[in-house]
Amino acid sequence: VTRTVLLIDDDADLLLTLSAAFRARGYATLTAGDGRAAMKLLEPTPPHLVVTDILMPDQEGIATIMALRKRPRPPKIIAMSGGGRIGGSNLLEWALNLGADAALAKPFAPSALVRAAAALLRESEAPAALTA
Amino acid sequence: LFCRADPIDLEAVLLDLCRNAAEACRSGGAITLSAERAGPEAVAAAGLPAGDYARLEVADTGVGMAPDVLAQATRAYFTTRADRGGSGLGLHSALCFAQAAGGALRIASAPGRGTQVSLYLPLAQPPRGPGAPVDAEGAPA
Repeated sequence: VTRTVLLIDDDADLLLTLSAAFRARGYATLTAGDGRAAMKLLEPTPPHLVVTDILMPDQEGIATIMALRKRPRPPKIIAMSGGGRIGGSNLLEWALNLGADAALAKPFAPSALVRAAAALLRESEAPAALTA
Repeated sequence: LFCRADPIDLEAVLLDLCRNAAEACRSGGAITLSAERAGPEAVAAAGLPAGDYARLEVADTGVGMAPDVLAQATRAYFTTRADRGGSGLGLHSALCFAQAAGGALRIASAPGRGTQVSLYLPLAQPPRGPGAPVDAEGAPA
């Protein structure tokens, strides 16, 4: 089954880079420049994983994480933010407390994100595998 | 040429460098990608200890950078494209990638004469056999 990753960031360059990294590993990707645009991409086929920036011009990442957690079957969520620029580490801690499954401080190696994504998606599939 | 590096990160760096080159050529120009074994003089000029390195270069004939811009080009969050979605992390990430791999990043540029970004990576032994794993991590199940 192809896993779908929704990437949310107002940095267009980063979206392209991360999207290419995921696609090269067999994932399908969707991209959005902010949380409001991302909400329109959750249907009809919800993504398995959402990777969201925290600080964005329209709907920012914290509100996006909260909205995702309220969904009947929330996707796995990875938060990312500009560590060191404007209190990024505090924002990531906040994101984890509000329901993000993992957090990465920018700048990070794309491989770190792809590995974190693979681990989370394996984790989310484990219960189904046990009952199959 | 074989190098030891995470393929995900190497691809991301090359994509970033090509995107920068394309941006520099918005009004026209050529982009050239090349890979070769770096000669000893180039290795020394890159500030690296003597050894075997690959030199991956992304060169463009675009607008080039003024000295003050070039001096800050690898600084995190420095960008001349903030109005077009640039975050200023591309060259910084390329530098971090090169240094983590035991290599170096060198940039030559001048206004009107284009930019050459050279990524030096230590050469490695070829993988053992055609089926040798290159990306055991990160692939979807």
